[in-house]
Amino acid sequence: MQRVKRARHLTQFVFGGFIIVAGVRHQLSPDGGTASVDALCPFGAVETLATWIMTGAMISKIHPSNLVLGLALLVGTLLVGNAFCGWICPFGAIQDALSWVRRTLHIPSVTLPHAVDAALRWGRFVVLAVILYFSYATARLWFADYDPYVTLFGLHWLFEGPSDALWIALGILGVVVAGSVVIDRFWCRYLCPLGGVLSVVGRFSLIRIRRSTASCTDCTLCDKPCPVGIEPSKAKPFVSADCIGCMDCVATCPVPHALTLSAPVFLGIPRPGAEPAPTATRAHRESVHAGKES
Amino acid sequence: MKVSVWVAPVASVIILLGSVGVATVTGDWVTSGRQQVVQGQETSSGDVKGWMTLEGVAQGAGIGLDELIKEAGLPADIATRVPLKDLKETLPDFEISEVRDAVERLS
Ligand code: SF4
Ligand code: SF4
Repeated sequence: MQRVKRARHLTQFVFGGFIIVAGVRHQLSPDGGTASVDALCPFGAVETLATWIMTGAMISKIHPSNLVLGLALLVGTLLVGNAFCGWICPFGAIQDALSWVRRTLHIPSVTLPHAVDAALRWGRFVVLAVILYFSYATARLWFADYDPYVTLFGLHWLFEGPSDALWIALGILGVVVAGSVVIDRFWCRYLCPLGGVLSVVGRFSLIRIRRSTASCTDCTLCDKPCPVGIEPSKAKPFVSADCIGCMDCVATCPVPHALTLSAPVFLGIPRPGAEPAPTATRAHRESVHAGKES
Repeated sequence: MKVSVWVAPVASVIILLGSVGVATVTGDWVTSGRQQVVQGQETSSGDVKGWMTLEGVAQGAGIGLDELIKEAGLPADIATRVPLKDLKETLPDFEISEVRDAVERLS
């Protein structure tokens, strides 16, 4: 458990550090052709997709690097699931850090009722639709003015004078930060358009986390560490495609083979006979139950 | 088939970085529409773009910054590290063509 967690946080730290360095370099040498944080975001590929398909051109501020990253993310998610959000995305890392701050300061978290949570998750697709429309209609990186990732890591707030546009962007970032303090991965759960895209692509992944109904003891221990509020203990048998691949649930589960990374999975359809044999723990529990009942 | 928990994260990182590596080798890793301004690269008047700064233009064209400012008829205290396209905010009459023409005359 600790090894997976430590490796994840280290990976997040490295990618987060890289983006901060990229942001500083870009601000310090606007002439030098250094990559902006926009150019290092795979979501740029999605933003320019409609324009690219219709005209063969890219919207302003989008470069081939966006397409390379977008394609890599698509292939990676199809092959092994979405681990980008859990391990690589710097904005996800910031939200994890905010959750850590909350836990350290003993600030209570907010748990929304299930129906509200489920409804709010559609917010990612609303944001996505708005961005796709305006990116195509304006042929520019329309969302960059509001994107909390760009606001934070682009460092305009540090290197440039105040402007109306910057205040609006900082307001949005403030709401996201406040939300992420009280709800783990607030932005990822409810608003991130890339997270929305990946949750759709993740349904077709060849590797998914699978719960063995035969082995699972329904202890729900695996639900507790999930940063995006998925309940792996209720997976039937694959966990939701909203999974960000942090692997905390798999590492937490005390029952061998109850929660595993399973492959190959085709279109999220469980293959008959692929269910692992019940573990001793489950068999033992059932025998205890049976003994009590007889 | 059960797969190690490390497969997904390790493969994701490898695929991402591998793609960047391959794109770099093939010349497709382009992160900017701007070209690096290198001293002595002889930026010609036609190469002067709105994203460039006066410092960058002078450096690329191999001419003195003060000389460029004077030739373009700009105030001596003008911000030299601000993109040309943003100079209009402080100098409403400024046109990028003035810098282009100055580079042309000086080179
Ligand atoms: S959902 Fe969005 S912000 Fe969250 S980790 Fe994924 S890409 Fe990053
Ligand atoms: S379901 Fe498991 S791997 Fe997926 S996000 Fe939740 S804890 Fe992480």
